[in-house]
Amino acid sequence: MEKSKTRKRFLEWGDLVLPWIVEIILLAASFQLAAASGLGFFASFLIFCTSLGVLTLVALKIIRMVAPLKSGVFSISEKSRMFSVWNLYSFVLGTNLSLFYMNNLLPMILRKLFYQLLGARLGKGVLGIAGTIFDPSLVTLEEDVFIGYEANLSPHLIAVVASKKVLILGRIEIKKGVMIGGRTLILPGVTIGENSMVNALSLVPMNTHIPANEIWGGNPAKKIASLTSKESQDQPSA
Amino acid sequence: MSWRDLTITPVVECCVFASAFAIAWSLRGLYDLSFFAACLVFYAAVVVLTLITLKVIRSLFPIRPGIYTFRRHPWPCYVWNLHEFLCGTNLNRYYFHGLVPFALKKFFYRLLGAKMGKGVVAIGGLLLDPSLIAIEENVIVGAGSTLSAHLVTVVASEDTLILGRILIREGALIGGNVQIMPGVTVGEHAMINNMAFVPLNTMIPPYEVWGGNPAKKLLEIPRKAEP
Repeated sequence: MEKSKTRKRFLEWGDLVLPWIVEIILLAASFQLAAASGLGFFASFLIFCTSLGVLTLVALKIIRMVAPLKSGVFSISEKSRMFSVWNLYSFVLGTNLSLFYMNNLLPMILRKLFYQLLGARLGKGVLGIAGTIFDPSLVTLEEDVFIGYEANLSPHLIAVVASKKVLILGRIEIKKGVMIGGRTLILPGVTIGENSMVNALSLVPMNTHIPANEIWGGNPAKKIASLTSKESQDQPSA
Repeated sequence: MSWRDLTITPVVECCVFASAFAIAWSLRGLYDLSFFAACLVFYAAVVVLTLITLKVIRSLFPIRPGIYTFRRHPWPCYVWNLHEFLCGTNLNRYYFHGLVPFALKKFFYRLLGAKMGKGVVAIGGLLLDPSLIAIEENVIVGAGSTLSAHLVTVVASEDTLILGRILIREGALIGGNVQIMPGVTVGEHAMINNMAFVPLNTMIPPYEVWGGNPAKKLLEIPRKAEP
């Protein structure tokens, strides 16, 4: 049996080449900056690393302004512009800021700032983020949200729909006072209502709408209990 | 712990560090490097020498799939142990924490002996014991997934090491936070849902969707009509 020679490529040529061009431009620019500084080896090494990070953030901001990520279902095998944009965006982010983005090596107090720089909409005040947020520009967190250790908020999902690989993007919205347990995985399009809680190690499937004041958990997540809201607690029970 | 763990392993480790130090020291003398540059050279030398040592270990004593008890098969267990020790100590951040940039992961696992298909293989997770893992073309492995070709358990009241090949066929799609155990084969264009646990020696046929803990068949993917 001979395999067909015109094998369908997973990525188009443009998707393969464009990220590397951007990558080489960024590396070359930061190398130039480091070389132009005329300092010692250690100092110019630091300048190289810093400018690579800053230039990457600027490049990502430009990509977001020119072609913002939008929710939807996009085919990978048939050419789709949104997939090219997402591919470029994730490649640059996952390569140059790999330590902070994929591996979460930022101190807790800097995480809010980092995700804000990457376009996440975050509420005022303290946000406890001990997990990872993928594609931060599609994530909204309101005030007083806690995200447990190693929990992943992933607004992207690559899946097979009708025998085709597709990229699914969906905005994740997490309202005021929500707590998300450790190692929980939250998939695209999930909305979690105010003061709700998601247990540790649960999987919240796509487009789930968790109402306010409820506890959910499990794989896939289901409602476990209701929380009594503060207003009803304040009223004396008859 | 056997006597080998307390003698051979430290000797190998010391040899790697000593030769890396020698390389850094001699290069510092030759090219008049600064202290920081010499540190970088030392670090790079440790990484490269570890990769070479691992390659030598693999070619002299290849790690073969099988079921070994620590008491009756000390040598295969020890070789695996030494290999894992070097990976986990000198390459710790790359091997256990996956701190390799996305674009270099395929290359890194190839250096550790994994068989990778041509073209793009997107790996967002970890491969443990890459020399027993084969991944074909166009495979996507989601972030946080672990493909572990070893398992240490108790079988018939004895501590046992189970090593098994993992084979991921062309076009398969593995979700995020998935755990894949030794001996698993994932068929062509199959899909594994997020947070699934695929137990030992599971055979996932082509064009199926599996998920859950333990993973079960959920759906069948209709095949595209042949052109």
